[in-house]
Amino acid sequence: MDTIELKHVRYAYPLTQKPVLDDISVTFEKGTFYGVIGENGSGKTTLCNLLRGLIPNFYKGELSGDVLFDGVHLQDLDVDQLSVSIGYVFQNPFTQISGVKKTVFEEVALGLENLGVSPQEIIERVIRVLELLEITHLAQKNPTELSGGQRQRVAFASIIVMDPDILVIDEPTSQLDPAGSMKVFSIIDQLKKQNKTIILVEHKMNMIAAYCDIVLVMRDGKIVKNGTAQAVLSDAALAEAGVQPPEAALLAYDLKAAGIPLEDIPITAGECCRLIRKRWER
Amino acid sequence: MRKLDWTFAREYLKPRHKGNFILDMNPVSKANILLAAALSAFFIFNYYYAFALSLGFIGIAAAAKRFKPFISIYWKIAVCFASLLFLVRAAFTNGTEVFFQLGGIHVTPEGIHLGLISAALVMEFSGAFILFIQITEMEELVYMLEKKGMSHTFSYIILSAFQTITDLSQSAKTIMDSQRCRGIETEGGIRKRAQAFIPVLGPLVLGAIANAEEKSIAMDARAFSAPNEHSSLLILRAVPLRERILVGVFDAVFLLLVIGRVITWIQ
Repeated sequence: MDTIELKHVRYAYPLTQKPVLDDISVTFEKGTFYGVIGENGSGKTTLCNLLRGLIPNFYKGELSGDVLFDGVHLQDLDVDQLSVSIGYVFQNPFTQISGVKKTVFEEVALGLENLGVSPQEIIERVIRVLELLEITHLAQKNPTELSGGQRQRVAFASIIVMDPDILVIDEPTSQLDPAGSMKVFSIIDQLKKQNKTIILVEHKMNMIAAYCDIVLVMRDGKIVKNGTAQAVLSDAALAEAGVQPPEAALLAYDLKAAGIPLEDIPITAGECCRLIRKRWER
Repeated sequence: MRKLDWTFAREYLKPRHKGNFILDMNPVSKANILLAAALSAFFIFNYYYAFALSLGFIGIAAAAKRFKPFISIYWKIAVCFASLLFLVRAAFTNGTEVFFQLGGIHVTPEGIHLGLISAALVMEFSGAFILFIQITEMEELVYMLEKKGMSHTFSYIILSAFQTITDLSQSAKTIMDSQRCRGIETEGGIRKRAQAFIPVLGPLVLGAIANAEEKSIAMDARAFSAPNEHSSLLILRAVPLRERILVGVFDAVFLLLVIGRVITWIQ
């Protein structure tokens, strides 16, 4: 699957009047890393549910506009096939464990079993993913006895092992420590290099700034900004959408207020260092 | 990163072997034998036989190294319920001779006999069921049932239903702990415990429903309904000849019992 295109999409959950997604028009291109940011309740998770086809197949409600997967309307698609092409990592790791497998190894293998992959290949792929995520020490543990952060990594492993074309990831690092978050982001970045499309909802702006190609800012069900990470995250009006800019940008604003303006508004620590050095040498 | 010995993972390519004849039996064979044994008591209708079967089940549990978990459930369910049933039957069944009478209670030989039969049947049948649960991994059972044509969805429902029991008890414990933190008394007599527990039933059930919804989406994310044949990391050994013979013997004896009972009824 190459592209997902939304045209004037509007969606309201059942028994509600106010749309959670309001006139959304955006195209997700193959091999691009998209970051979706916005304050709580802005419609980010609902957008993920729509991209995964859970709306309107699982969550009913009123959906209008066009949702096109490689030019084919969502309504005309085989939903079961979508589960193979689009991987979805949820926000809540506690409900993402199947509860029917006794070890983490078997839990991660479940998706591959459902895809009919041969046992030999399942074992190889599961080992590879557990090593990639550095959770080999959990392999023989019972998934229901893991901590939130461990479950989150197992849930993530369970999806990436299936090797989908598109990954929709909703706050994959909410329960992880900084080192764990860095690891997850570097893996997502590796996946992008394998020409996968990544759509990531995240609140950690520094990570979004460091890894995403395109950033979408949502507010009240609308996409209020859509552009390159540099353009969106360095925009002084970002705070108006209820989103705090990355620390590098905040530092640049403070320097400007103190009469030491930088040449540009940086969004990453590395870029910030470069601009400060440049200013210092001037 | 800690390097792990992946030998255990390679074991998935071999049939599962636990090194115990009973545990290694095919789940369908176990179900077949235990069902035949349990039902046979209803045709023989003799409490000596039923009690002997119950003892036999305890022996099998011990041989399968499942004595402790088996007996901890068995005595609570079977023995308590069977005792109660015996007392009720023995105390209220009319008969030819009354051994003891107090108000409406009248103990008769027929009552004692009926009580013993009822108690013995309850003990042996529940014993067979509890034993089956203890010596069979549900995952293996549904795997076999799937091989015999049961749908993948139904097998997931069975497995997750068993898991839900564990999940619910964990959630109940969490809620009770938080109630305790809020200063609500959860310890004491039955009345006090009930007062603390009954109000949490609502949130517990609603929470379970909400989780079930999310879990079904999670399963969908794992390609549960993918339009292809599923594979499995679980491999069970082929049923050996001696196991087939054992099942055949049990089935044949049971069939003879049924035929014998039918002939007796006709005559």
